[in-house]
Amino acid sequence: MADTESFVAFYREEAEFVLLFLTRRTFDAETAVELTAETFAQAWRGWRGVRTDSREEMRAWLLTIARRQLAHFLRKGRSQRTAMHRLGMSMPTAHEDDLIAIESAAGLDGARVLLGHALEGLNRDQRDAVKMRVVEDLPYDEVARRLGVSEPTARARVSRGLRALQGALAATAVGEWSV
Amino acid sequence: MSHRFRVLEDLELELLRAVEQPQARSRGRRAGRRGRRLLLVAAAVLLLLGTAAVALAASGVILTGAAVPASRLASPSAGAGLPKPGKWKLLSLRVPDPAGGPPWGMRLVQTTRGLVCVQLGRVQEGVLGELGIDGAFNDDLRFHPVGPGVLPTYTGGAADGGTLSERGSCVIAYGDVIAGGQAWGSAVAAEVSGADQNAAFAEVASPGVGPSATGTVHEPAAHRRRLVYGILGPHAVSVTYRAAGALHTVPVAQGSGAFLIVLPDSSASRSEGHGEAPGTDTPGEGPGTVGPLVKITYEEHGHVCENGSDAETGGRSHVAHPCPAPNPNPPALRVTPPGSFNRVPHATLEVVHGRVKGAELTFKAPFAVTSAAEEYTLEGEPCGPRAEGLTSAVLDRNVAAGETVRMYLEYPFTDACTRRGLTVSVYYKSAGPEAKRSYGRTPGELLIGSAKIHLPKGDRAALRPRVTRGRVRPLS
Repeated sequence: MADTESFVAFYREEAEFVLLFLTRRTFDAETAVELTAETFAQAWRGWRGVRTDSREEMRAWLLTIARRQLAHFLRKGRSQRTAMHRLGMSMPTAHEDDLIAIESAAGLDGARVLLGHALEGLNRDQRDAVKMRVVEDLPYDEVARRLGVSEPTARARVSRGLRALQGALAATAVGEWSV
Repeated sequence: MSHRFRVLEDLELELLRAVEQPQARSRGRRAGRRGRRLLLVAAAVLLLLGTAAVALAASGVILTGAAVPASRLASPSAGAGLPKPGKWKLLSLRVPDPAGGPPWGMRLVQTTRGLVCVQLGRVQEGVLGELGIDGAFNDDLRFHPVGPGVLPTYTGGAADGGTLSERGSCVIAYGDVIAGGQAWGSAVAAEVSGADQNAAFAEVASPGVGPSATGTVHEPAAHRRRLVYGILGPHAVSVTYRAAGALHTVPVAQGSGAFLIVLPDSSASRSEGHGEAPGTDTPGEGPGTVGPLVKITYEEHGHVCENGSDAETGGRSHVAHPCPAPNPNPPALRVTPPGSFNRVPHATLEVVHGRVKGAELTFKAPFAVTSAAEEYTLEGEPCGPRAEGLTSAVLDRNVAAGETVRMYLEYPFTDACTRRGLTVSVYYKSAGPEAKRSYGRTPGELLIGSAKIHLPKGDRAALRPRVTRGRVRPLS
């Protein structure tokens, strides 16, 4: 029972932090709620193995789990619910007012402006490649055909464009929304 | 509990419930297996019955699945923009589906580029979403929420006042439409034919404006729906439509004038398409010529009047009190002095291995583009009897006045007549009360400048690759 109490206390301390962390990276509060739920479900599964009382170390451990969920979401386009299913959990439904409040607290408006500026800041080749691949969801061979380049070149442009965007956002994140 | 967000409180309760059970993990596993078995049984039953609709009608609340993801790299200053914080609203209107299950609903989303987008879907417990049936979401039989960030694709269309595509449509709007429902744009009503009953709309490979946007539909006719919807503004009172040989009149939502009609799609076509239905926020203006709507009733300054058109008979329907025609030239449209905005664009050809693939035109923007109601377009002027050479490109992002703009025209020399030279013109198009106009041109359209491009000697024209139309994204 002590495990349960300490875990719930940990949840109360960190849930909002994780939720805003994921909202700023998915640009979508609803998705962030799902990822947060799975993050804590996975955290509970590993809770007995935690051997530290340091809040920083526990937060770092939790963020590692959250980043793994985020990576899965970005790769697959959907969140996973493995741990939630194992616990028999269902997903709470977020009310629209709540989603608005979460996005506002996460400062998404500013983040979206930053992302827009970062995208505009790419050179035309990279911007077109990133838009076709990521926004329009075209396969690489189609991106290559539309750009009139080889597929490896198209892949390279997308990769460089995403790295540049990541760099631009990471640089700003240090100052403005650093969680 | 002292969470700032209610959903975190709900999640805490759910976690507490789960972790306080000593055998939660193993029970969860068993429950998972049992759930999967139930899911398989349900799927088998559906197969046996041949329809998911029966199950939906009987099942009540459906388990929630993963939310439909929004575009990951949308921009606040390009395309449709992004939802303005707090500026979206799930309307209270609910329309039953002919086969049962969660009712249909509409959400309005105001964007950073001056658009109002209409999202259509099924509504469960106050949430808009799509159903995991009929091939969508791997037939997981779950309800998949659609957030306000899942916007319909917007590919420009300032001159047309809006665009129609998957999951609804976006229109140019003026004023705070969420708060007051005032001052709507022009293309405010639309129709989706051949939509699946799951509301997981087919996403087209090349979304465009108007009825050309189509996607392939794999479902039998009984599962297809015809959705007619619109936001007719504060003066609209009711709409009258024809279904199964009879006329029906339904009131619109107060303030926004929103309406949504869901009908079985009886057409033989197996494609999902989008078109503009009759409907406008301006009494006396329009209406169009397609769709089951036959009459819109307005009330303005205490006077009731009607706009009418009957698509099935091809003529205007008989209305008792026709609305007076509006002023075709709103006084707000001022003529921009000629010469003040003319620029000479500079053209550069892109040649790859001796083949001309495109032309880039560069010019200094005489006007800023600050919303989707304004845009620069590049148009190759037609040079043959069947409008050969006609091609265009739209700059669908914000630009500052004086900014050097680069626009790219693909495959300019595909048609034979263009190889004698092609005139490419830059236009500035705008809509709404602030629209600019010049003498001798369509209101809202200014000719900024033209350049003539020639196929260089020794080079050949790259041919436009064949475009596969109607490609549908995997719905999972």
